[in-house]
Amino acid sequence: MTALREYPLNHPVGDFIRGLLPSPWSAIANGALAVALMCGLVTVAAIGLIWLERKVCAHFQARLGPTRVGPFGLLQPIADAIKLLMKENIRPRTVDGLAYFLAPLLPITGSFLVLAVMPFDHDIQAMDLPAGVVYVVAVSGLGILGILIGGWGSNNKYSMLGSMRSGAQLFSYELSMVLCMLLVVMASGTASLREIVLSQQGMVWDWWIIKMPGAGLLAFLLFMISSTAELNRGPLDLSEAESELTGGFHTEYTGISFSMFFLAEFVNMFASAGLGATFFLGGFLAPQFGFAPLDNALFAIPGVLWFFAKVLGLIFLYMWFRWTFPRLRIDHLLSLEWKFLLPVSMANLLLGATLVTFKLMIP
Amino acid sequence: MRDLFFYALCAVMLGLAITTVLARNLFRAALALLGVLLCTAILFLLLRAEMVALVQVMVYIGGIMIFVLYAVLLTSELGGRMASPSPLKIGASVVVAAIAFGSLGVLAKRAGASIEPASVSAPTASGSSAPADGEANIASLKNLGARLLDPHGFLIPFELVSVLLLAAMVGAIAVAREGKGDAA
Repeated sequence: MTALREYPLNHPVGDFIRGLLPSPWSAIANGALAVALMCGLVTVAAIGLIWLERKVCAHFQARLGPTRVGPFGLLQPIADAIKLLMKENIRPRTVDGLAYFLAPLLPITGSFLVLAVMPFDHDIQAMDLPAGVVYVVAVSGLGILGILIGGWGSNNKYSMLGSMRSGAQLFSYELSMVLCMLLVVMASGTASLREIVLSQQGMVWDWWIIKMPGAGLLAFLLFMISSTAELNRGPLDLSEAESELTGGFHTEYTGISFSMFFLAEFVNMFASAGLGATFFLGGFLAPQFGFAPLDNALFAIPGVLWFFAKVLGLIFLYMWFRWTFPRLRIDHLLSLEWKFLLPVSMANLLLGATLVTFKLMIP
Repeated sequence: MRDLFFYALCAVMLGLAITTVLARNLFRAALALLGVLLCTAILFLLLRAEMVALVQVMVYIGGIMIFVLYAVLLTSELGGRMASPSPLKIGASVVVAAIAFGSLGVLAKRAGASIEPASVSAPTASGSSAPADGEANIASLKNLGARLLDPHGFLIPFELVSVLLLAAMVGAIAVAREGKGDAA
C-alpha cells in the first residue's frame, strides 16, 4: 500500500477569489460561487445528457440519432431546449392553481439540493454535512411530493393514476436504496459524503464495491436497480408509461412547466449516478493499481474528471437498462421491491454488519 | 437579524397552521401542513440542531406527508369541499384547544424558568459554511447514535418504541386483511 495522498479542502481558485474580497463579502462570494457553479453544471449536464440519451438510444436501435444540427448533432439539445421554452404554457381551466404551479418546482429543487453535498472533487463541494446521507434522503423526498401534487392538481384521471403509481413506486424503492447507502455508511463509519469517499483511499480494491466481499457488489447492484426506479426511468418508468397513461403525471403540463419535470429527471439521473460513484466507486479518487508510474500518471488527472468519468459510466448503464428491458407491470414492480429487493437488501445489510464487525474486508 | 427572522418564520408558520385547520379543501390543508413541517425544520436549524432538522424533513416531509397526500388522493376529488362543521363541534374543539394550549403554556413557563436563555442564543458571526462541530453539537448524528444505542442512554426506550411501531404495523395489516377476507 502506498502512502496516503493529500486531499486539501480549499480550492485554489476559490481561495484566490475569497482573497480579493474583505471579510463579510468573501463568505457571500463563497455561496454565490457555489450556486453559480451548480446552475452551470445543471444546465450543461442536462443538455449533455439529453444529447447522450438520444444518441445512445439511437445506437441501441441501430439508428444514427441526431446528426444534422451541429457536428454529431451536438447542438440538437439546444434546439430542443429552445423549442420547449418557446412553446405556449397552457394551463387547463379546471386545474388546482396552487398545486399545478407548485408541482414542477419541487423535483428540480430536490435534485438541486442533492448536488449541494455532492463531492465533485476533494476541493469542489458546496458544503460537507456531517449527516450528508441523511440530507440526501431527506431532500430526495421532494421529488415524490412534486409528482403527487402535480398528479392531483392536474385534475386528470391519467395524471392521478400516474402519480399514485409513482408515489407507491418511489416510496417503496427508496427503502432498498437507503438500505444500500446505510451499508456503506456502516462500513465507512461516517455519513458525510466527503468522508465516505476518503474512506476508500488506496488501491482500486479499496473501493466499497470490491472491499466488502460480496456485500459491496450486491449492494451496488441493488442500488442501481432501486435508483433506476427512483429516477422513473425505463424499465421502471410506470409513472409516465406513455403507451398506457398518455404521459402519466405530466400529461397536463406543457412548455416550460413540462420542461422542469424533464430537466429534473436528467439532473436526478446525474445526481443519482454521482451518489453511486461516491458510495461504491471511490468518487473523485483516481484508480490505483499498486504500480507506481501508472498510479502517478492516473493520480495526475484531476479528481473532478475521475468523478465525471465514473458518473458518465453509470449514466450509460442507466441508459442501457432503459433501452434494453421492457417495462414492468405495476404489480410486478411492487412485488419485485417488497418480495425480493427489500429482503435481499436487509440480508445484505446483515452480511455487511458481520463483515464490519469481524473485519472481514479485503485488505 | 436572527430574532427578526425567527418572528417572521413564526408568523408564516402560524398562518400556515391556521390554514391547515380552516381550509375547506383537504388537499390545500395537506399542503399547508407541509409548509408548517418545513418551518419546524427551519426552527430546528435556528437552534443549530441540524440533525433533528434533517430527520424532521426526512420523516415528516419525505414520509408522513407522502402518506397524508396519498390518503387525500385516494379519498377526495379536486375542488371537493368539506361541509362546515356543526357549532357543537366547533365549540368542543375550542374547549379542547384551550385546555391543550393552556397546559402547554403552564408547562413551558415552568420548564422555561429552569433553562437559562443564554445557553441557547449564542449566534456567532462566523462564515456560514463552517460546519457545526461534533463535540459542541449535542444533537449531531454521532452523538445521537451513541446516545440511542447506549445501554445507559436511550437503548431501552428506543427498542420499546420500535416494538410499538411494529405492533402498529401488524395492526394495520390485520385491519386491511380483514376487509379483504370479507370481500373474498
